[in-house]
Amino acid sequence: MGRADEELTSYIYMCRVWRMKLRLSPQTLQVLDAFLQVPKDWKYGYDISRNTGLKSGTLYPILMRMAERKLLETSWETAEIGKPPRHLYRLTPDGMRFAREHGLVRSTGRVGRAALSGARG
Amino acid sequence: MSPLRRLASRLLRAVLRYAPPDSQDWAGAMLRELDFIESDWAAFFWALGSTTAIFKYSVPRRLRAWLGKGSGGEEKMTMNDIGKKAVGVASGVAIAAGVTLGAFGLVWLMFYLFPKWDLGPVPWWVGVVVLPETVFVVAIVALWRKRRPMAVGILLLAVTLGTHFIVHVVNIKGRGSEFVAVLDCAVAVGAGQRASCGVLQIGVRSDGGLSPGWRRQGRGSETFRGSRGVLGQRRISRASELQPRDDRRKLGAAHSYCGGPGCCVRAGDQGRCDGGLACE
Repeated sequence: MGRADEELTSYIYMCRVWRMKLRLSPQTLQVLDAFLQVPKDWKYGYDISRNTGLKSGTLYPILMRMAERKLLETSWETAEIGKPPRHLYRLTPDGMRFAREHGLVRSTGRVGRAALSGARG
Repeated sequence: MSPLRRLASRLLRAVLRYAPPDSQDWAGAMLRELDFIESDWAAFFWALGSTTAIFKYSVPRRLRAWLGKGSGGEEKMTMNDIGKKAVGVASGVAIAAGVTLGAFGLVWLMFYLFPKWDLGPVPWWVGVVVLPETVFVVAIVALWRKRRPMAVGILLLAVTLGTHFIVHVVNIKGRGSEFVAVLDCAVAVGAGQRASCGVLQIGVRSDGGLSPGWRRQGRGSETFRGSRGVLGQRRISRASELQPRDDRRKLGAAHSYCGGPGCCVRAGDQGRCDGGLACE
């Protein structure tokens, strides 16, 4: 892929993100932070809540918005017999890219704390 | 299972049952997580938060879907569209308010210009309530397909006006809140009604009749005549000095109500101008 193609793809992506209008609140960044700790893993809602300290009333609207904008994929856990399935969440490639665009991912895989504190301040 | 956890579980089950189809997955997910929360209080707060989250998610979507044209409008609606719809609703409310105020002003002007004018069998509220409401219904039907937000705005004001009127009528009939009458009086005086008189007409009934009974007695006072003669006397007061409760105590009255424009009590007396307090 040539440089022009890359730039075009990037431009289209930014247009899509702009249209998505995902508000990067400190809480959203915290959720992204939680996902980026082990990006490939599926996560449970309550675990994210415990990791981030966000209440369900704050966490779930963020997850819903992210899923709506295709930044997050959701799935139902394959349940064992007699055990109710749980909902699972993971960042999509678009979600990873979104996080990267906003300086959240570092080469070490850790989250850019500067971005987080910047959003807070 | 503790009562608190049971309550949390019931709350989320109810949310799951009544959530719109697009939120049911999320409501189910929140319910499942409840089993993995150790503390009962944490589970309870989890359920409360989850309920809020579902409301936050589904109510605006339902509203947008309802305001949008067709089922596809929901997904494609941008903030710009929402702004336009909000402006549409606001303009509908403003237009309807203008029509109401216009009708009210017209009736008021008629009584001001022709204080002795007898409307005969037509009650005053036909001009102020029925005519605007008819105009609103026609406008809502006409605009519903092409300019729905504006129609919604008109509908909102029509419902408000209708509700106000119903409450007012209930009050006149002695079953409603006195507050409405006092509020009406305050609005009437605030609008400059008989400002030259400086008199607010509060008729206090004692005999169940609709005639106000208040008559001017010299300067600065008035008496109330019921079917059993003079029942009370009071100082003519301005809006700020209203004390309908005192009047009621004094006269043992059923309720109080406010007079209409032109120092003539309009409520219930079919627009007769001779039953109210004489104007200066």
